[in-house]
Amino acid sequence: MAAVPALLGALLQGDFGISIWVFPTPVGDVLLEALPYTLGLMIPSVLLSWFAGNWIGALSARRKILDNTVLPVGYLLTAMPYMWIAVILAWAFGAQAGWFPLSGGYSLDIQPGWNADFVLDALHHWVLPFLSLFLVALGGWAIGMRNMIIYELESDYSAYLSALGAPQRLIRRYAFRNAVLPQVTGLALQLGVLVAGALVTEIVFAYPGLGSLILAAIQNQDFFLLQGAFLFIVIGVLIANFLIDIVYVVVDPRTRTGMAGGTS
Amino acid sequence: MLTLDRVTKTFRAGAFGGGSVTAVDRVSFAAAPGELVSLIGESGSGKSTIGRMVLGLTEVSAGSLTLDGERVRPGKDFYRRVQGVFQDPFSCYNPVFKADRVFALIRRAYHPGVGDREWADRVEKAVRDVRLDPGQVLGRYPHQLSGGQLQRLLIARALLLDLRFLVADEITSMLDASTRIDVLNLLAGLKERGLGVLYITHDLSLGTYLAEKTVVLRNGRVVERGDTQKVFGNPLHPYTRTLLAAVPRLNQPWTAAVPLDACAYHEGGASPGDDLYETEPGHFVACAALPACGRTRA
Amino acid sequence: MTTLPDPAPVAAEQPAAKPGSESLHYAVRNPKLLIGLSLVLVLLATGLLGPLLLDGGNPNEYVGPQAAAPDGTYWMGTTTFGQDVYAQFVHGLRATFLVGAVGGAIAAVIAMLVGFLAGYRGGIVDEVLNMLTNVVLVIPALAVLLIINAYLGVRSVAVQGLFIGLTSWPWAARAIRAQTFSLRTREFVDLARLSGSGTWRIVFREIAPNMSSYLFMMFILLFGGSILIASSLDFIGLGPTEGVSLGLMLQSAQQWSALQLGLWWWFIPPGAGITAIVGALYVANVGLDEVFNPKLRES
Repeated sequence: MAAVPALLGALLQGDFGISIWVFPTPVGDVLLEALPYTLGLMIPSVLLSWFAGNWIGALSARRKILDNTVLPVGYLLTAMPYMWIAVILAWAFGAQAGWFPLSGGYSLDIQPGWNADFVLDALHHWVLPFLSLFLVALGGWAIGMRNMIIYELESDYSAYLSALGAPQRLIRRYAFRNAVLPQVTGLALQLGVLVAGALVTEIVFAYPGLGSLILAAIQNQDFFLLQGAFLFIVIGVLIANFLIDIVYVVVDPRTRTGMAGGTS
Repeated sequence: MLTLDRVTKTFRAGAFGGGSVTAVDRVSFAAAPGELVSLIGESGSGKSTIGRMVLGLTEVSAGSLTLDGERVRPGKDFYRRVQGVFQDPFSCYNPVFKADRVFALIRRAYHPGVGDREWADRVEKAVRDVRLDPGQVLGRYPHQLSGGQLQRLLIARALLLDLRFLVADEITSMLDASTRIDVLNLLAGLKERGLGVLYITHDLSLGTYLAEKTVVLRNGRVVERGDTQKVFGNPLHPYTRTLLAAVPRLNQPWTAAVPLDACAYHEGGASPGDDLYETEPGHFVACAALPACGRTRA
Repeated sequence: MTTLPDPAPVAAEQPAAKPGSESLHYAVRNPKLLIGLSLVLVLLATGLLGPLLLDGGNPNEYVGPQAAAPDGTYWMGTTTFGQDVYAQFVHGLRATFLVGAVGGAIAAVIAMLVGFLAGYRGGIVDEVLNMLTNVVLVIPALAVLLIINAYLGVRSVAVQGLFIGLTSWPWAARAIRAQTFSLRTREFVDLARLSGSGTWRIVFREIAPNMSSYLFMMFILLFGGSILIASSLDFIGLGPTEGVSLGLMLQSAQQWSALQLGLWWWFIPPGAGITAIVGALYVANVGLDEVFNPKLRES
């Protein structure tokens, strides 16, 4: 406990300490090596699932046939634990079908570097973990968006526009823009869950990102590594939250009015 | 009994509380026992805010608000003597409970020792006092009763306490004409028993029906106040004149208000810093804000 | 009390049905609610009765042939160590429901306290509570639980539920606060204040009953979320050290290469169990929403 002030001081200078597990490599280096893999999984899956989920949800809000499939599938997907769907996908498309590798970020017999062979191989290893993160999150966004659109389409302004004779397409567009706002907030709220999902998915696939590092740190009682990873994650989530706040201000004109001291 | 002295209320506005809105600006008036004071103003004039401050539901930003000399302090003792009835009877009742629950709340807080039998008798008597039939209104949900019945039940509730002062905030706005008269006659009866009433309304004819004193409010400021006869018999402020002119009269087409060419406040010789000028005993008026007034009030 | 002239008779009115029974009528006719609830109850029954119907021994005991596929004796096959997967499954269901209940209940209580207080009081109380909520919200729960578990170690499912409850309440507190804001301006709240009721009395006797359906649905979501978080923790290796849970089953399946060895009966049932419970809860929740909100009811 007496070491805490010294530790904090060192942290502020970017010194995370020396890893016990991979002694004598500094923790910072270990983390930085794993970070691109985690970001490479998280950023595409979060963004793509958000956009695709919102789009599918919006479509299913007005087409009953689509709705009857999207809704149950969506609920099924969002109820699945991330690591389970990862295992299922790995088993179905990896072990059984043999289309994708079961573990690792890249094959051990290819030289890492910016050459076509390596990049293709890395992508090959990336597909299944990405897919499992993507599918679960997709379900959540689709359902959320569908509910928001239905809510907006039943609101007074929609009824009024309809009574004025506005084309359905216009009303839907307005409804969409209003429905997207809570989805942006929802993204900020879900960040913790999405990070957790990425971590366990990496463990299933032995993907060399922060998740596997954390597992190794726990198993090897490497507290420095654990703390460093924790800090990385917290900082990352804070940055993401901040970016989402900015996006929200840009997207919702009422916040700008509010910030200038007026009322909307 | 009730005294307001330069009472002011400001609200913070804007997302970060940068701006501020002055809803009530240095309002002063008084109400004596057995007197009904009508507070007249349009929407947004601040009259409901004043009503809430008298009831202790909203805090006073500046100035003093006293009842029998004591500062208004929300709490059980205060509410034993002062109660309020509001505009929308349906909003005043918790929709998931039966309407009589409002009586049960009073009993729990103020008459915990009273037996069931005696309490039922008291409730029945109060309900009859407001000219309702207990068999028709007790044991029902709010959505099963009419606005007038709900409004009168609220008055009955207030009668179960040792009421000295009642704040009636637009209580007749949502009632039809016949129920309206019933409720107003109820208020007249309360007056005779020595209760003070603050009757908040935007409707001049109702205000003059019962009130001894009238306060005319505009944008949070008092523009004219005094004995009702004097204020409406001889309106000295352009706003009061406009209000009076706007009241529909039987068999008479609408005519515009007679414009004022002199400001009673400045012509009368008010000292700078006075809020209102007493033109005759019991009749106060504010600056008319005419171009000829020169400097406007701060 | 005041005496006034005699009352005039008032016209009679028809008594209407109680609000509560109307909800019940729709509730028993809503397929989503019925199906979801039934599935949850079936699984709950399996989790409660299953271990009793078995010999009641330790589910982690080595009882059968190693890595055997499902057959007549072992309905869900055995693990690489010869443990009965079905025995582990039913014990695991029990643990999963427990952590969901504990975590969900604790999170719900905290969310209600924080949300109601912030929404009703407003002002500085609201700002302080908002700050607290934001801090707990932004810190990823898993990371915090990671650290706590790594340092303190978790022995029992109940303690795990406690920690999960302590970190998963912010979104619910926000939602409750928003609802409370809108309810607090209603005049019956003013009337309650004029009747001498204090803050908490008003919150629990005036405001909460008006959002009872909302609170119930919130609890269901917290329950489901708690189960998912717990299974993730178990999977990483931060689960309870005694007993068995569905997440722990997935963890050992992963550790002992069930995937590579093709022992699908080891990793499919536990995940399916979690998906079934959480999915059924979500569907039941949607059904409840339709029951309470007439606008959503399909004709």
